[in-house]
Amino acid sequence: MTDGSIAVIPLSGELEIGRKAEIRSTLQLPRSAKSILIDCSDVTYADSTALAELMRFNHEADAKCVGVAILIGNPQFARLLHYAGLVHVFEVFESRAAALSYLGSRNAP
Amino acid sequence: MMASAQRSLLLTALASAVVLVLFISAGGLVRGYLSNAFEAYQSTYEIKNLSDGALKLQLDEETGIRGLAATGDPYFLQPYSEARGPLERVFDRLQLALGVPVVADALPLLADARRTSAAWHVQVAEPIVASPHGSAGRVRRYGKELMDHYRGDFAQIDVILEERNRGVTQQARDSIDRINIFLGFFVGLLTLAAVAYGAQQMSIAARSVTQERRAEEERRQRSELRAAYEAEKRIADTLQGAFTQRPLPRLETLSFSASYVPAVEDAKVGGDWYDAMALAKNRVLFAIGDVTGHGIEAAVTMNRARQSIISAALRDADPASMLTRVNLEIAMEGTRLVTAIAGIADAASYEFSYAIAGHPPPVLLEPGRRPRFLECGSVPLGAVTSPAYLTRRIQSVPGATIVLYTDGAVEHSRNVLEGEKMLLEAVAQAGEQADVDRAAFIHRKIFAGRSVGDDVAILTVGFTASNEMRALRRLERISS
Repeated sequence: MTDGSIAVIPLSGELEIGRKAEIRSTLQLPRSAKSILIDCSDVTYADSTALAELMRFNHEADAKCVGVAILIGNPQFARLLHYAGLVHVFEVFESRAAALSYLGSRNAP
Repeated sequence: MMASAQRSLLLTALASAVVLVLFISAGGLVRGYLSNAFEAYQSTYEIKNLSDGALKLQLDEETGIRGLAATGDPYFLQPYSEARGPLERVFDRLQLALGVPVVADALPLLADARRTSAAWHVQVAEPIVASPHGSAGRVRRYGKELMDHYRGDFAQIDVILEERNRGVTQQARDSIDRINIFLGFFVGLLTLAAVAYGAQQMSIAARSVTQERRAEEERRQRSELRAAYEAEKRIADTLQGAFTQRPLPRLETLSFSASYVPAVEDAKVGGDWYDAMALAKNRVLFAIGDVTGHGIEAAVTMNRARQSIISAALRDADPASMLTRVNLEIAMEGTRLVTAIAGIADAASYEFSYAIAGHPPPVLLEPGRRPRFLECGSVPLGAVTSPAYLTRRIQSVPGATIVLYTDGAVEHSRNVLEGEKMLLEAVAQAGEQADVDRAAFIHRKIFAGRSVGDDVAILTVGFTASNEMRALRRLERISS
């Protein structure tokens, strides 16, 4: 699941409180990767619990200087991220290439 | 329970009766067999005695005659003459005794013995008695021959008696064996039945004890669980109820409506709240919020957020400053995220000012215009330590209303864009109604009687339209 030193974590469907444990176990920092792409292109919904998990993960990554980008594909999910102000906290991309190029340039010395 | 006890009692009584009858009849059989055997022995014994007697008496006679023949002394005639009478009587009794079918084979032998005895008497004893010295050796030899024949007859009778004895013994043994087998079989069966019954009773008892214990345990766990759950729900409900039921302000220049519908699913007693509080004659604080998660902890966090917004508002009227203060408190707690909107409605200047922390955007409804979403987008309370909250100001008009809501109002179908469309439509329709509880109306329009999966709070704050204000003043004058 790594693109060079970029790890890709896929999430899909409706992220809600019932899947909290699953989301938390999926959102783990990989040991080696310098940056992470959370692929949410198939995510259609996220409740506040799921958004909180995303933020927790972002904090952890930030503390270890690991870059995080979120790839989104669904306008509803985009709207929810906007509500939550997470577009200002995360690096959010609608294109995979753009997300990877951002993370790649971040990894470059 | 009663019926089965009665049935097993009846069965036991029945089994006892059967056992008793069987034992009595078995006892009768044993008695019959044994008495038969005993009688047969008795009669054989008697016959044996008689035949021994016949043999002895005949030998006495013969000894007497031989003595006479050898010595010529008449003294020897005494046993001979004493024996003849009893011998005849013994013969008669023997004949009678041998009349039983089993030993009837012996009768011809007895007859032969009698004939031999008579022949001996006439042809041997009497000639010798007549002339003791003149008895020829021929007569003596003939006498010995007859005696041997006589003995042979009784030896054969003995054999028959022996056989009969053996037969009786065997018969008695066989019948006792049969009874033993029968009794053994029966007792075995009874024991088996008793053991099976006992085992069954024990297993039934054990099973019912285990089942009872298990059922008891399940009941206890269920009731504990229910009690714990109900306690939590009661506390959460109480907290929630106490907080949300704070009365809305009654002001001449501002109108309010609010609706709070908790989740149908009991476990989702949530952390939604709203507040409207007069800060001055024409200024009100309005706030709405939602704590992630449900239950008591969510309700407690909600209460903290809510109180700190109010106390921040009392110190500083700038919405962004309020949220920044509140964020510090929530972030220190560190467990939950809170989304909220805090704002001020100023009826003197018709201005709404508000700040948002991760909450869905408010809707603005102005007379003669389609309702629209206001700007939003900033992190929830407790998410980051130094968020940049922004106070947004909307210069509006008399009759304008700001509609605040929690995410349940737009995320009910999981399609937030669709949900937003429905909300705008509901708000537009509410705007066309006069004298309506707008919050309740909007809730009704969105959910149309459908069950609600999440808490939904709606708060509207509106500037009284100028014509409404004039009407109100007129009313007040009339009533005073």
